[in-house]
Amino acid sequence: MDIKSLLSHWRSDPAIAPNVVSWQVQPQRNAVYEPFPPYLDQRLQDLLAQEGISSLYSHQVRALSELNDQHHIAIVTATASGKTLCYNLPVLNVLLNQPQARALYLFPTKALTQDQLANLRQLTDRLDQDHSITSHIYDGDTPTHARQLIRKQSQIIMTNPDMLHTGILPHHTAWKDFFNTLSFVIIDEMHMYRGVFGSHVANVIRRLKRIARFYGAQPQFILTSATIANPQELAEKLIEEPVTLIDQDGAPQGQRHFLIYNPPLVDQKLGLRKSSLLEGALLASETIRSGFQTIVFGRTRRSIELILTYLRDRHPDLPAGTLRGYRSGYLRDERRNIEEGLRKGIVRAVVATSALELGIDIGDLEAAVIIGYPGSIAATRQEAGRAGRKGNTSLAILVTAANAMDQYLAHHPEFFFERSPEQALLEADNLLILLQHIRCAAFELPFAVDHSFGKIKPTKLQAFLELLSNSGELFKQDDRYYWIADQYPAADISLRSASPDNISLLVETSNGLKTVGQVDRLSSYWMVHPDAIYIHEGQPYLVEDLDLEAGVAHMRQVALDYYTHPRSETTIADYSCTKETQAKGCKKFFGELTVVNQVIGYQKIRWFTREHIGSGEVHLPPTRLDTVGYWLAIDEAVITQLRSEMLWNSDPNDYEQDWSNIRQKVLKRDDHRCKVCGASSANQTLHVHHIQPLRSFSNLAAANKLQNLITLCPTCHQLAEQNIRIRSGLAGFAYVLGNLTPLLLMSTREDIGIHTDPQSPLGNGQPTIVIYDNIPGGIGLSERIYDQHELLLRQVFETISTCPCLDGCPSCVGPIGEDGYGGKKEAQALLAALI
Amino acid sequence: MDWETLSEKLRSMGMVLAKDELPRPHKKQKHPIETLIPGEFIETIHGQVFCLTQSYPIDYAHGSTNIFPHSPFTHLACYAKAPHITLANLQNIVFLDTETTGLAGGTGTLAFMVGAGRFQGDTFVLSQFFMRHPGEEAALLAALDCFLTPLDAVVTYNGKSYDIPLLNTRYTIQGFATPFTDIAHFDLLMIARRLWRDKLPDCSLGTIETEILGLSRTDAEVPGYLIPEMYLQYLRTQDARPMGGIFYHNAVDILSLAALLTHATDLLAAPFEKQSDDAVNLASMGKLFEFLGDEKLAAALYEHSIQQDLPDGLYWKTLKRFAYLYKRQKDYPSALPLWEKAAQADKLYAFEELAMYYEHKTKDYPQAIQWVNAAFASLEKLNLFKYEYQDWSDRLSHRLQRLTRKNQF
Repeated sequence: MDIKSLLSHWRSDPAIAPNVVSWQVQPQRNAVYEPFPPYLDQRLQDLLAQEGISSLYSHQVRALSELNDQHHIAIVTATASGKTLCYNLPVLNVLLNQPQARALYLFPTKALTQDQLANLRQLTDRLDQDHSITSHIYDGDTPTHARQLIRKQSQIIMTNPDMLHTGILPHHTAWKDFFNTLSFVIIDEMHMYRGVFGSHVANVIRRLKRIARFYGAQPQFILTSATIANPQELAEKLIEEPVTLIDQDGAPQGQRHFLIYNPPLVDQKLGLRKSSLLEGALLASETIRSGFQTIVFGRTRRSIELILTYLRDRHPDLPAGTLRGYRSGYLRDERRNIEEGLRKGIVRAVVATSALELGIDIGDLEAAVIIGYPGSIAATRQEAGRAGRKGNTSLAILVTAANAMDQYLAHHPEFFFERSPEQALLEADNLLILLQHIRCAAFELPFAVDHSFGKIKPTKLQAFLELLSNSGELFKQDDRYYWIADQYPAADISLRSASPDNISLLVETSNGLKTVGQVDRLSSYWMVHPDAIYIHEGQPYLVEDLDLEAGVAHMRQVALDYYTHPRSETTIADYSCTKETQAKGCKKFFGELTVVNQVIGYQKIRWFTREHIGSGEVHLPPTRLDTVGYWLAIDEAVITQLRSEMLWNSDPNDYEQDWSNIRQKVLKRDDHRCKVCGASSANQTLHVHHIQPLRSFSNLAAANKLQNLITLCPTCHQLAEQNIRIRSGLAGFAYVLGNLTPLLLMSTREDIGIHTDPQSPLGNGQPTIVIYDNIPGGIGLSERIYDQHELLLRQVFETISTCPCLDGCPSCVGPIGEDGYGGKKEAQALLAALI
Repeated sequence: MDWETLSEKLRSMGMVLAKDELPRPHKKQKHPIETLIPGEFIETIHGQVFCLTQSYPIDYAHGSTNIFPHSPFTHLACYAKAPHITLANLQNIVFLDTETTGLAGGTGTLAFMVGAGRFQGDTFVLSQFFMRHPGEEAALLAALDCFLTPLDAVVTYNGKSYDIPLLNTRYTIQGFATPFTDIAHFDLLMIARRLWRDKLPDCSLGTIETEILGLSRTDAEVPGYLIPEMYLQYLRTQDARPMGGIFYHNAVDILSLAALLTHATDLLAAPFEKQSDDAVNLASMGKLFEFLGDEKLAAALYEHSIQQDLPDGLYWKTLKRFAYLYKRQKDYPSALPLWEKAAQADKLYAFEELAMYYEHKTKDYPQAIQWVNAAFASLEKLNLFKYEYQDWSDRLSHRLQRLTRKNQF
């Protein structure tokens, strides 16, 4: 069966067709070739010719010519478009003619580094011996005895930012010869360098450029990226130089079908859908049965095994060796074996996590089933790109899960084809991160008073240097600052976290206590509070205690069917606004905030069903976060308008039969007077109001308890009801906002914090929503929201409007009864006034 | 933004910054280095640097050892892979030791004091270069470079992995060429370890001084681990009074280097003469000479040492080395009695060697089988770890099978 017939079969299958919410067909595209440019070394031309390559894709030629014109370049083209050659060719072209020149390749992971070395050597091994090119990996795994020789002789060094940061720059004198003639720096997969990690890496590059300049080198930068919305901006933020963007893809592409499959609703009221895992496995089973080599991507290690078991059950005819799993935890040899099996076609299907990374060569598959949104559009495109590499028709299916982000994307297939909405952001000037790298830089070379550090001007830099002199790490003499502390600062600075202060996660094993990981201090309060379930590499651990003084959390392995979600109280203790603009229906602000947060408890939530099965209290001190935030304050006119439009008092509430009795009791208790303004029943009928809304209760008896009831006059009652409606509309709005911002910012939900207040001083007493960077000092996330306010609000509105649930579900404004009551309608009306 | 505002900000972000008040210089009481140490300032093209120079006569005794070497360098030079260095180069050999701001390594550690000594005619000249602050590093390195010329070899204690790479880094950071490229290097720590590892609890220079050189330092001595912090205090207070102790410490280190070189060359030139009563030493020297390729001397030293009173563990180790030395020379008649002796003490390797000898050399299979069986008997007696037991048991069984097969034909 070919893919087209399987697809037409699905179109007519009533169990499948209705759930396919999007069906995009990307037409076949022909290659755009250009001849070898004349300045491409004849030996390279011969080398390529041996492989049957007589011309290059247009973007490859453009890369060569831009570099020839001394520009820095960033290449953004599709998976398998020959991106690697875009940097290998220019580098080899220079090295062949200037053997003393050097190139530094940076990859985000070790696995990718290994693969790229093999890739490069495949090319250079065929050069004749007089013109051989030496290339080596230099990372934490490089044996000590080999290091000196590699530093001295290797023309191309491949490493990762962490090694550059701790192992190379602080020892730059040992790399003198390398830096002397450093001509190229390659930063592959630069979209990985965003958020905290990216902010660190940008500073590592500042240090790299500073050291290179010391030795008289000014290398050219070549960056590559997956498709994101702002590649040029990211590249320029990383290297702080103008960068030429190359995004006209000249590589050919076969016809590609991209389907979004949304598992059907099983409970519309609760917004519950069928399991994406099972539905995805079912689809994969069909592609396998039709004879297509298939890759299935799951999100967790456990889901991989579940899907694999399911597929093996469904295909007893296929030998076990042809259906394989692939995830971290599998041994190296086993993985190589699976990769080879895939290339040779022996392995018919593989179920993998993202451990099967982009760089790893597994040949061309025919179908990809992606179960659950991988967390970024870029990653989704990369995973889908695994199918159909060489111009044949291919199929990729995204099976969406029930959460808000997945459901939003179910209705936005264009993101996967057209312009990606994802912005990769970083903030190299985050004070905490910057300070740490100024320490490292001062260790590497003394600073003088007139020096800059990247874009940091001497005056600002001096404040840092004075600070470090004052704390005894630097010594100032005659306008120079010297590192004098007996410390190796890079060793204590992880590129993966903003704060150098970490909590170690300890687990009791038969061999004593073992550290399974670390979380930064600020995150520890909500991630590893006592009784929290902490998931590490798919294994749940129960936190037994969190010792903030000793900096450790003790955990034990458990097999439980729930996870925990922290409950916390947030207040904005202090703020200063730096930007504000009137927008439609609201005012938007950006500024510095002090957020005080206290984790007060947690909820236990069952896996898969997301059902709340219990809760507990947590007693931890409050934390202070000094950061930046965006906030929007809703105009009074909008509130007035909403008030007038609301038909809240006509809602037929299904009161208990005994209601008149209860009502009389309350009126009597409250002395027949409005408890707010004191008005008596003399000239009007008094109302009895539910303090916590009736609809948020599952049984009437609980709602109608006397302590939940209060006597109000009609005027006060109206106000009370409106406040609740507005508050819940606001809460629903915030819920969606929190779930959608990661899409725009390419961050995780944990990177931002959200706070709502119906009467906030930040918004001059107006109802206000605050979104802040959940990282001390901020890394540019909320500032970008300030800029993208309109776009984001439109996305929020669409999400709510297109959701088929009745009054709120986890896919839009949150499940009923979680934050006030539903609030879907109110949130929608509120949004409508703002866009 | 000034640094105080910045500091406030960072603190509120949860950054832990050192809070304690750093000591400040006294306004009135000043204690500059030149008023305390009888040195002088040397002018260089990169500015001036403070230097204390002292001379020691030819018969100067450092502890119980004379610092002036007489014995040939042959063995040490061979060990340092610099056979071209001989006693004739003596005037161009520099003894060197640095005092630094710490042990962190990398580019952020400074050598604030470099002591260097060399023989000039009949005296040993010791110069100690000291920077009053890091801004004088260029001058210090330039002055040191001048002192080092001409240079054939340096002598250090752990300088291979510490002092010389550190100075190379400093020269590179100042943009100077390093004077140590292609210079022979005698790192006496390596030699000391070879010679005295089995005899001394550790091979720190302090231990070598008391145990080998018969030297004890005076009250002026400051322990090495305090030195970085003392210098930092000096930088902040500009009170140079505690620096005297560091000058003393550094000077003694360098004199000890010279004395140790003399002692070691004497010892290696006439191994039997000096320490013929010390079995442990003889065994160590045997190892050293074996390493240097002088197998004849090594055998003689081993022979001598095992006839004396070696501690049990070292006795069997030396005997084993000795037997292997003979085996390598194919001198089986000499090796066999050693193995037989070891077999009596249940050393499994010895049974194996004997079995191999009878199997391959004399083809006397029954005799070989006998040794394997004896090995099995010993194996049962020994209280080995399970994996060790298994390993031996497998090896012996394998050999026995093969021998039985060969014996049948």
